[in-house]
Amino acid sequence: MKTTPPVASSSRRTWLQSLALAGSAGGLSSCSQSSQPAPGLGPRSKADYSNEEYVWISPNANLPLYKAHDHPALELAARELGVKVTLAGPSTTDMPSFLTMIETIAVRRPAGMMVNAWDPSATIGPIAKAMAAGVPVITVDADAPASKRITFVGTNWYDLGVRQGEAMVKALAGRTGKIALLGMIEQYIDIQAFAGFRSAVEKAGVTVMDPQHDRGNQAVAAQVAGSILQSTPDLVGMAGFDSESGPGIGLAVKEAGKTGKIIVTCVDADPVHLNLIKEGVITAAVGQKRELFTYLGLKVLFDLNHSPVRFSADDRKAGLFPAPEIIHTGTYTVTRENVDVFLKPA
Amino acid sequence: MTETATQASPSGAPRRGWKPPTWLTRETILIALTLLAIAGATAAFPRSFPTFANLSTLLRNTALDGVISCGMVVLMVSGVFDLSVGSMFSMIGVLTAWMMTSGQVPVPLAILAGLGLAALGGALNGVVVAKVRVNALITTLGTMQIFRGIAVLVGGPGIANLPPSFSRLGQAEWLGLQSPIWLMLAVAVIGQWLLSKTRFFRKYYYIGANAKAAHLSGIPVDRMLIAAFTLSGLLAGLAGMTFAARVATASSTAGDAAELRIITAVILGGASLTGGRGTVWGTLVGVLFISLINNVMIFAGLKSEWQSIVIGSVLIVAVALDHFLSRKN
Repeated sequence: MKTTPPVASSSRRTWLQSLALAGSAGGLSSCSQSSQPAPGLGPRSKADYSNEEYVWISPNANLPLYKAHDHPALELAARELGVKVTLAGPSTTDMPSFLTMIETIAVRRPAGMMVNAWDPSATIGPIAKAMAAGVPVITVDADAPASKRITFVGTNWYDLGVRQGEAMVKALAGRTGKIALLGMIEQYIDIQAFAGFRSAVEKAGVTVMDPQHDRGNQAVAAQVAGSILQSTPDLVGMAGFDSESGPGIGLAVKEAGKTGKIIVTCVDADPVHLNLIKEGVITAAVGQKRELFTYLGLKVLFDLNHSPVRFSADDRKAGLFPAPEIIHTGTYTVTRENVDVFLKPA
Repeated sequence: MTETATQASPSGAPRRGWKPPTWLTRETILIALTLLAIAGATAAFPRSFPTFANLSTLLRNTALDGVISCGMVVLMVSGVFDLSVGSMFSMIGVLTAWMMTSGQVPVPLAILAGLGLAALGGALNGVVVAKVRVNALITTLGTMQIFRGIAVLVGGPGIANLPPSFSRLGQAEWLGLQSPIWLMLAVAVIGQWLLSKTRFFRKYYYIGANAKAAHLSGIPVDRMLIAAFTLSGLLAGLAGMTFAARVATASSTAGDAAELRIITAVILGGASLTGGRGTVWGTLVGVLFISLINNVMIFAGLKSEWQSIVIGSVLIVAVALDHFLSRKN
């Protein structure tokens, strides 16, 4: 039997323990990253805010969309302000886990939290608990308007639906028929977008079908869109309302040989959407200014703690905060006319 | 002691109540339901449903689930399953795409490397289950998270602009059918032959029926489980790569939630969670049935929520009926 000398054994044990700790820190669902302010990029005043922690929390926390847009902008704002930020949330759409995490993090009393409220009703309770614990809470991306959140920073999804609808009507140029909608149909923001889309399109005499669920997955979106293309002979357009809908619809339209015959509009303008616009498969993509959700969101939270603006002798008692209630970050529309600008690296 | 009502038959021998015919199994019930759905949809939508365009759309969107299911059925026949297939699908698509773009690796080499990584991932599952003796649910739940994390780390928002020589592999057509469909058919034909005709693969049924007895009779159970997991990983990775080629983009979330859909299809097709039964053909019918239901319900204009309700209900009824028939037999 092989024996190892005690010194080597304890070193190995220490090494293994360190590895286990490191591994558990990157576990199943987690508060994953913190950023320290970079030297030389200090906050606005001379005070040191490097111990102030602000938390961003969302279900599906590792969604590629967030990693591409929301997280880098949050890190940028953190460096400018000289504060620490932590990214948190389950890596799935596990709502119970998400809600529990909001409450757990609130117990830590961070300087502020920005919550991506996928379920606007379910998040009311945890947000109230966090506010009661003295943690300022704002919502970003998806709002919980009935909650006690101080500010919402994000897209006006009704307006986004209207933009898509207007692009669809323009491209249809008088054609009538049916339009299919794909998205995460139970989500509050999609429901708002559907309503906005209908308001813009039904005026033009086009029939909008009931929305179909694509589960936020490109393959499912392609499957659903493929079936809709075969089952609806008077289909003239398809509109997608989550980041995977556009690529899925585009794939189905291409494979059915209906590029140019079916008008496709979608949400988000990442390279995969832009390439489909360039190919003529997607007519218009309505992009969100996602970077502003977290960039402005962090600055709002910072101001809630440090702003010199006062409205009364005791703003907290009066329930007043030095921040607007709603900040709509706006959208932009990408079409074949301007897609080259967006295809160039920023 | 169970009492059985008996009555004399015309020949005088005792008869023990109704015994269903042996051909009445979960597989045959599913085939009947599938044919019924096709007949009903054809009658209701004669101009648009029974067309080559709709059939090829249906098969194209079913094909890669079919490929992954062929690996899953071998596992389920042996009494285990793999929850990491969806994440493997995403991860290998992303890793192969990364190698070809940022890594500047030639396409054939990237494909081989991707398949190698897929087999390695599957083998990892096999070793942990067979040698370390962690059960398959926990093992593959863990690797599901690991593979998903790697896919997101490497793939980020997705890897676009894949080389045309790679994309062509997923978009090529022959006789009007796209390459993923031919891939599914090839994998299914080979898989069915292996599972039904070769001594090696038939041993999986013995392992599924009674792993201990199989081991005592000289079957190398551990090595065979590792081989089955390796095959499952390989097929999931192949499917992920093919999907990336088909869409000319590698998405780090492409395979999300695929595992439950595939396990449902394999069980519908006749496999059991406890092992010892299942066929590739039955599995394919299960995969096709789920796609068909989704397709028919869209034709019927029914909301998405009803699709999930129908699939879930059919699963419970099919399995319950199957248990009832088995007890009668």
